[in-house]
Amino acid sequence: MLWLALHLPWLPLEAVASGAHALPRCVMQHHAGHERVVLLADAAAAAAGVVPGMSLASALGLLPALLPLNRDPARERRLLQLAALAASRYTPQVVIGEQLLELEVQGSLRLFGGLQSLLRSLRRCIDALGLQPRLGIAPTATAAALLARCAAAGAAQARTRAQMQQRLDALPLGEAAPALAELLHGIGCRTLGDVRALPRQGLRRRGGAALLALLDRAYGDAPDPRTWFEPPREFAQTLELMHRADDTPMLDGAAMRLVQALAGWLACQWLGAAAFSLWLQHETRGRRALPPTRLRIELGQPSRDAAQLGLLLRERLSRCTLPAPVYALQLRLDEAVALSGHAAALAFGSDRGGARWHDAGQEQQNFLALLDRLSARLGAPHVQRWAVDADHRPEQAARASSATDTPARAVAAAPQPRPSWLLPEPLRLAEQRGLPLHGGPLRLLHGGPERIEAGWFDGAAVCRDYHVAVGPDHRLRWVFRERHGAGWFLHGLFG
Amino acid sequence: MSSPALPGPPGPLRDAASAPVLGRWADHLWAGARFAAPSQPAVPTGYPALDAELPGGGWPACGLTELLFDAPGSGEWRLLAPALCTLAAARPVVCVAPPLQPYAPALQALGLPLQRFVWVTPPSPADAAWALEQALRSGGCGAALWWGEASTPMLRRLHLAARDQGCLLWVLRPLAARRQSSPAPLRLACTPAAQGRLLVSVFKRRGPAQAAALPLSLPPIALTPLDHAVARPAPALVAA
Repeated sequence: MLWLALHLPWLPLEAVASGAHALPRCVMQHHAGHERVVLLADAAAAAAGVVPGMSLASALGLLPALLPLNRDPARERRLLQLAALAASRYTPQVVIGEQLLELEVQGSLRLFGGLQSLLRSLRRCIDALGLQPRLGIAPTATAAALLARCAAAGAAQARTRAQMQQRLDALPLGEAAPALAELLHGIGCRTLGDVRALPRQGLRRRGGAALLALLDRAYGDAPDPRTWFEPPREFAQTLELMHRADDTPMLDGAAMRLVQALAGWLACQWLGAAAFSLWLQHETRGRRALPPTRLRIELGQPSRDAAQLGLLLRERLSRCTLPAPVYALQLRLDEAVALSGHAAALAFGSDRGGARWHDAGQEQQNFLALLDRLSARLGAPHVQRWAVDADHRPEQAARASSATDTPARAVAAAPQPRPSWLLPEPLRLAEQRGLPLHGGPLRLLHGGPERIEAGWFDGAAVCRDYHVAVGPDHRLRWVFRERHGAGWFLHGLFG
Repeated sequence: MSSPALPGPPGPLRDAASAPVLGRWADHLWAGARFAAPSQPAVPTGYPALDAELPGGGWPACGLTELLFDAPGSGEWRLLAPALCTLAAARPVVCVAPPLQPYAPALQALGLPLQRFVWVTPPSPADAAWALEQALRSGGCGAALWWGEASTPMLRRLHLAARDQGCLLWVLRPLAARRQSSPAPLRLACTPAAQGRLLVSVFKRRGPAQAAALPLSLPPIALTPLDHAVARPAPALVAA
């Protein structure tokens, strides 16, 4: 077993901060009655001397520009749950704790190319959620959590039992036993190693039973059962914004948090998203309640790559104009298909980075992802494929379809020459002595005319005699005259 | 210098008196009097006369190539069709901002596999450049065509993207662009001429200047009398 614990010391602040402010911020908590005290201060506030436990009045006295935010445990739980979903891509065994996620990663090391590579990928994923974790790695869950709580900015690692024992012995006491800290400090215990050296009976009599149990679990001397986090059956996650958003760029951060959770959920179910929707809940204006706006994204190639899904969603968001301010987002998975084997390995490809792949399958995946990206930004009608249709009428002989659809089966084209460019509407040409004019008098080539007479069955009948004509600039044109009518028309150009 | 002459490609540099002076660097130098040897084999154009005029004997396999035409319908599809058939067989082709509706029956008759062509019609030139760069950088497409007017920095950016990803990019611009400088290593100006020919002037290439424009015979376009073709002279001819 190898446990990876993510401690999120800034979670109360990250859950309520909107990111749009440049002001120093702190999170307040009710303490002993009605007084509000500082629970957590950000770097700018801490630099001015605001420390946890300070009353609001003293904090504002030190730093008048300070923005006090109220702690919101419900939002913290919500965010922690999204993080657990996002982390599900690394292992199905995830435990949610107090500002803490624990992942059992022994079985995932090989898939992700080793612990260091897994950690890099995990850090990127947690970064995208807007969280700053501290990592602890140890063979038992409790030890990993203890190491994570005391870790500095980097990760505290202990791969083997001996390393773990050594690192635990050196841990300061404060984090593990806040209640007994004073007593133990008084008898000269500074670290967990010192406490373990004390007689167990005596410590238990003096109220240290809980501490002893914790130590046993951490050192692996007692069983340490956990309840796994169970991902929901269907993916529909809501995130309320801290401030109403008037413009789409303000939604980006929250949307990306949801996308990370979606990618994690898909990976743990071995699915790929084929279509998903972002619902924007609007504020009510006066008495009128606006229905939520739905942005639906369809993928030609199902994917569970967070970068790809995020990119598509961002492009779609940037094209949308909000009818009213938004206060909440919901991401719902509409359609999913099973995705495994080769495609699944490719879905992790963008996390690995660096390597250039040259196999045909990868190139095709890249191309399908490109089509999704182009359609998301430009709109599906602007990204097309053309195919030949079995019809004699020139306008009906070609058909455009969306590029993300499966290409139609090829139909044999007419044996007669056809122009490579077709005008949107036939252009009426002036005449000179019975011959058409287009940049000068046109000369009809021999072999014509070709009569096209069809369409009597659907009300769009045509009856035209087509010629290939050449002008003084030597360019070839496709011209016709109606059988029952006068005048020449230009219909196409030979490229 | 007494270093012996190494075996290398025959060329003016090899047999000239300068060879002993340059020594082993001769292979790494390009003299303006001979064609540069591209790092990747070129894509044959399908016209041997044109291949002989291009460095490497064909379209460069990666990077930007500029084709100048005065208007759509000057023979551009017949010129590019053989190379496009080869490229599209390997990887898909993206066409950005075509000036008119491409007509599927004609392109299919030229032998192009249409299911491997994607047509992008962006609403603005900025979107066109974005779409093109996405396509080139994706590494999933083998060739791209663009009908549009672009600034030199944009062309340079696209050229680098195409070169890095091993993708061939043709930019089709009006003839007036000939006077502007361009980062494209290969530039051709094409004008239609009599008897279905195309006058191709290769006015920028990594090689000696072209002596005269090359008259290229394109596949002819002619109506073949069919059973159902109307067997009477056109009224216009009667009137004339």
